[in-house]
Amino acid sequence: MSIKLEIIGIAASLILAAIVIYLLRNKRLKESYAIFWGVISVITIVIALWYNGVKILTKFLDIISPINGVFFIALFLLAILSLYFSVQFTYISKKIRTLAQENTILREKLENLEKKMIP
Amino acid sequence: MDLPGKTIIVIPAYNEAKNIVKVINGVRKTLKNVQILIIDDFSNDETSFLAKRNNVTTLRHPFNMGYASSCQTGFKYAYENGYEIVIQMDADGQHEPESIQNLIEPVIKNEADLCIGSRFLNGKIYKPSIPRKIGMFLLGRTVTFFTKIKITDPTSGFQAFNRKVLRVYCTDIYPAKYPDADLIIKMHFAGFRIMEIPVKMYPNPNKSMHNFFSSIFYMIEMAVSIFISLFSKTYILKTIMEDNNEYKT
Repeated sequence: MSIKLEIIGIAASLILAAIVIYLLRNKRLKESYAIFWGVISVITIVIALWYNGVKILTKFLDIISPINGVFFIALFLLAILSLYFSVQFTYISKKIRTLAQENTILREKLENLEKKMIP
Repeated sequence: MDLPGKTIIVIPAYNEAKNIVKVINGVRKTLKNVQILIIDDFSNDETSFLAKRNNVTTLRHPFNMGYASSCQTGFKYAYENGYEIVIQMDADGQHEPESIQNLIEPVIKNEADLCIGSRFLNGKIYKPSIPRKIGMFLLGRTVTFFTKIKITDPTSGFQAFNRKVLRVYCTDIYPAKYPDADLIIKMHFAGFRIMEIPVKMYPNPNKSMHNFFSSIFYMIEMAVSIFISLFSKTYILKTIMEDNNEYKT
């Protein structure tokens, strides 16, 4: 891997790590998600610094071009992440639905109580 | 007609200001001293206002949540307030209140836990479009195949059921989007007695809730949901057992 690519790879992973820390500090990202993105940053740095590792891994998996191996791993991780978010989304939708329904019923009860209390 | 004490009519409504008063009056004309509950799914029109003005208990969602969620809000209210029998009907005037007597009879006599009103069993009034007819036919046949109960109208929102069914309808088993064919299969798996009886239903005066693309999506979603339901018997029974001690006997 050329020095230029190494520098770009390291810079990209450092920028990603900085964004993750910034979001964490402002409470805009949950710690559990930060772990995933932190791991991604580390993997990117490892790939940038030790490209031979990718070559060894792709050779082990019988993938002809190392870059295809990188894409394969990246796509696989993103697919897992998408599935995880779909599960989270379903869970949160269910919670919102229950909350809104309870809110609706409670509001009716409150209105009834107010009517009884205020003649 | 007099209904047994703790009976409630649950009517989910969305932008039904044109029809809601007619529906309320229609129900009151047929049934004496009946408790009506309107669930306004965050309508943009005067649905809530008109319902309240007619002295009907009205619940209004804080945002639009869809047909199934509206029904479930009504069921939760009914369960919390100790109702024994629930009648579910639409707010668009499609369902003829006179049919409630036939619909509720098997539930009162304890011949069925869930009674579904079918527009096709005496099908003279209701004539759906051909794609809708095909969809309903396929779904009906699928439900009949898996439950061994003849179901001709699996998408009917005109139903009557007892408190046992009501309890299950308040759980996660009740679908978030379309409580249709998949729900009938689930309720059959849960061991409830399901019956279908003829009711009068008029064509929808407004546009259907499904357009061409959403109809296709609906059929795909329903097929997936039915497929999943077939493998959910254990989950359904477990949910019922966990949620209600009276089912543990």
